[in-house]
Amino acid sequence: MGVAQGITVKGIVKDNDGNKLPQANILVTPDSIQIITDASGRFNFKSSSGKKTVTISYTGYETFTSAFSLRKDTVIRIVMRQKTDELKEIVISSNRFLQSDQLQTTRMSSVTLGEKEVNAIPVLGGEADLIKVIQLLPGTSKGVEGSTDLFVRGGAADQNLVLLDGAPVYNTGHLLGFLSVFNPDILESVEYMSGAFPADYGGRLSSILDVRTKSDLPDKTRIQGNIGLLASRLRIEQPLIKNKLTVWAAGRRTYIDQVVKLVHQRLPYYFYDLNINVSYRPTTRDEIVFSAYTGEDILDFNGLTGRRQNNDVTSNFDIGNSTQSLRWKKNLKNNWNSSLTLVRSVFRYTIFNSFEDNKLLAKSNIEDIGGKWVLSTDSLQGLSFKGGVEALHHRVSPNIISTTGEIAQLLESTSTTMQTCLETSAFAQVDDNLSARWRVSAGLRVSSGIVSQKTYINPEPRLAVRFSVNERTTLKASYSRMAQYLHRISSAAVSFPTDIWYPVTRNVKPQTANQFSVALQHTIPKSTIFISLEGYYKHLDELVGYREGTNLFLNADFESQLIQGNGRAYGTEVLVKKEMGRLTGWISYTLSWSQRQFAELNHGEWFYARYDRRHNGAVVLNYQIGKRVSISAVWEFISGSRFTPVIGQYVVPSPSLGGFNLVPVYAPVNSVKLSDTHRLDLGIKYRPRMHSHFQGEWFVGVYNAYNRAAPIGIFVEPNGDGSYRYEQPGLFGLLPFISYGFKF
Amino acid sequence: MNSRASLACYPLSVMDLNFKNMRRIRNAAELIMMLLTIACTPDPLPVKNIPVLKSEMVVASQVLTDQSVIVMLTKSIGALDAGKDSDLQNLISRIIVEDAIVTITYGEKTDTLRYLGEGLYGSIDLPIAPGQSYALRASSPSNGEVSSNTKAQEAVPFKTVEASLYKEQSDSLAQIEYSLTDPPGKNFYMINIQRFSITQDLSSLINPRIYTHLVTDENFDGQVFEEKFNVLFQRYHLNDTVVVSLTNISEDYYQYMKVRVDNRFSVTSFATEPFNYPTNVTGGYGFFNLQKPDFRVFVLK
Repeated sequence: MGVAQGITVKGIVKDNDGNKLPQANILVTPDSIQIITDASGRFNFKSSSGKKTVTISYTGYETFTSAFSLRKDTVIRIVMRQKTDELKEIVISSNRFLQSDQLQTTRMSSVTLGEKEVNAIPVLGGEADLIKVIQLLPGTSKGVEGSTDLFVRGGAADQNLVLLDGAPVYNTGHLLGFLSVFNPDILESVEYMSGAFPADYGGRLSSILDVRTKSDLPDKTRIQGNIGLLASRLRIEQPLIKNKLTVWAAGRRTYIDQVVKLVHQRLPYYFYDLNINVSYRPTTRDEIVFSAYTGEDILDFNGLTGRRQNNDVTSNFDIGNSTQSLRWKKNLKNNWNSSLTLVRSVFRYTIFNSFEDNKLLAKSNIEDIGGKWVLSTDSLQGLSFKGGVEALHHRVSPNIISTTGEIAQLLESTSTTMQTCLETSAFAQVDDNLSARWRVSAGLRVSSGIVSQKTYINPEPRLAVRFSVNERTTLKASYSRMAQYLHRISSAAVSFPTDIWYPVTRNVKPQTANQFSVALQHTIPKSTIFISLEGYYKHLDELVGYREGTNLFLNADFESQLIQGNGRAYGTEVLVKKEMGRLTGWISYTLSWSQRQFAELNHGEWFYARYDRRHNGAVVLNYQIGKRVSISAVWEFISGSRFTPVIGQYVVPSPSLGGFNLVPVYAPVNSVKLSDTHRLDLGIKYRPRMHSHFQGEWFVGVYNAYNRAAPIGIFVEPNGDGSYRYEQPGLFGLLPFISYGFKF
Repeated sequence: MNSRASLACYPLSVMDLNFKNMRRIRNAAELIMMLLTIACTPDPLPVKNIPVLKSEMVVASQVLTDQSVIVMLTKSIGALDAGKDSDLQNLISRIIVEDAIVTITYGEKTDTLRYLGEGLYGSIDLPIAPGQSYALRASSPSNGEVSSNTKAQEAVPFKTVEASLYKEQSDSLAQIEYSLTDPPGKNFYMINIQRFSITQDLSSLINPRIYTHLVTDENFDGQVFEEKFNVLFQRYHLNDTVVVSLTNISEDYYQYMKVRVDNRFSVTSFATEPFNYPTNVTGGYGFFNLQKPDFRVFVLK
């Protein structure tokens, strides 16, 4: 009896310990329906009546197959069994988001990380850091050593959209970028995309980093924390109504300023992060989550004695972000899902200096308010559909400078006019199996940037295709067009957290990028190894720069100095990732080129981008020796970045004719490559107690074990005998760390 | 233990405990500080493959009177060949160009400048007429050729000028009060203040500390202009000798000086914007100007 596809099948996939299994692959034949479970292990699809076979696979578990006769709406609960041969050894999966799960999808150029994976890797100061882990992935280059800037597939540092529960985060670093603002204890999942962007993401050219905080509903109070050299953190989670309402709060602060007081020193700097989250499930179909973040870096030289007695100099610098996000997810009828997110994000910094009557106050501020609504289904006659709208209003005060006293003679009080920009977009995307081997994901995003006297509109098509060579090998290709309406103006030499964010205007156009990529993916299930070989080409238009000689520091009138140009980037990326077993980790390698061209710079000729780093490789390993001990190692190699050193000088009489000035002559833009960098980090984790209620863990290790400099530039230094030399200094040498984590 | 003994022990053991806790905390703090100080600053890496700058001629010029001008020719050097601490005389002797033929053409006339020594070429019979165009050519067998064009600027002297000591709470600055009569048309002015001392070291004449104040006449075209300002970032004392100069400069030179003044905020070489300063010399560096400064010397009271 032919019946239209109107029967709903829902279900949940768990293991025999009751753990929900996200991203489990579900294949329904003969309908050729292929879906994956969501983060809660749930799925649903529509089908016609008749005999069906459902096959569910999940790495590390025996494949589940069952035949049944479908006549009416049905709910299925599936319990997967772990593979028996893997029970003989400790099965370590530091990441429940496995790369191999994306094999049969159209996903490429993306990685999903979990809390455990981020925490397993030793980084600067022993403080687990999400951004530092991302920098070890293929296609991702870093800036100055230690900074949180990402240069993805030839893009600039401002071309990465970092979202915290849907709210944009503008300043991702503490300590001038040496640590990210993300407390590792709050992470549920981190999805990182450098290409093949789904249609519901946009606003930046080069990458999306979608950070989601924990929102599950525990059944008891949970406390976890960590005491480290640089900072300590604590998270407390409390269920309020069982299976319905939970609240947690997490804080992190550096306390080195307090520690040095005990040894009679002074360090007037500290940073903190504070996150809170309220998760509420009023019904089985509704999930409401409110999350908020605030964090700040404070440098406070208040009241330090100046050169003379009773003569105070005050110097304060504080920089910080805050975000708020309210998300409502609802399972609608007929397998439709709705997700509405409202966000607010603020980034600001303030510099205040005073000496006697002289006062200097400089401020910058961005406030975003917006929302995003997504409607989706996996059961639209075999298709998956996702569509929606998004709007984000930016209020930007790039530079407000107020001076009094003598300093006002040198630096007048000025302020850049506050700019507002409304970014809107509408998007739709369809995923479909064209045949047993071919799957396509086609979408369109239409975005706009609306400012006074000008509206920019950009269509952003998205296409991804997958061809299954066999059940373990796929070929993929993608095309994405991206548009960006907010730019960060940085110095050519180095970027600072105080760089200026500036929206499009009548004169400053949106940046755009077109990216093509192809990939070969292969898994070796027995060894749980995932291999990816990917190539890309990206062309960037209307990149923002500034005329030579422009001083951005405390400059409120820089728009007239902005220029726009082009960029191109291409490369090959290799990723080999082992995802389960005693030994886990990955090897990544990228071979890439990145260039820029501005009519007003370098005589209009193409030149290498600052962070054009030819070879970029990393070996990241984690080995579980026993139940209590694991060791980790990171070895990273990266070609030197580009630099513009002084190569000569000439002498001219000083303007007053009372002496001579040495005027530097620089090499052509970014024409010199710094020395290559390589670094080894080692760590060992030891869990002295394995009680069911309390778990403690020591993490000891060393950053940069053989103390090699990672050059930040090329500078001329005196030898002391009247001669001079070039040298390339680094920032961080061998840095031991020790920390203690606990959970109960 | 009797009660009196136990009472005697109790406050002592509490104090002892507090002291031990404080000592533990102190020891932990010292351990943390030690771990952090174990961290080494790595040795800088050597540098290879830096391009070598091709040496080119550098032009500087100065009007002495209405009929005389001096042009200084030197050559550019490598980044490692000199620095702020270099010996000035040795440096100058290494870079001067002595074999050039230097001409200045104005209207239909061409004047060949005479070599005066120390890289200086001059003429005492070259009329400097404000608004007139002048073309410089310098040709050296060993250093190549350079050329430049400029217009002579009208000399604008101080109408009045005074320099005095200005005392703040804890600082004493130099205060300059001046006036000038601005000719009609677009004009750009440069005022320099430099301190001199009898005991001044020659090495201090390399990159000397000069305060430069730039002014445009957009708000006072063709009028008398008065201004008072303090010389910042240097402390002055009673009886200091300062030289104050006023020069009417070309717009090119104004833009060049503006960039140099703006980049004084560069905190370290690490963050300094790499930027090659503009020049109006073709085939070389420097500036060919025909502008005449008005110098005044003051002893601060």
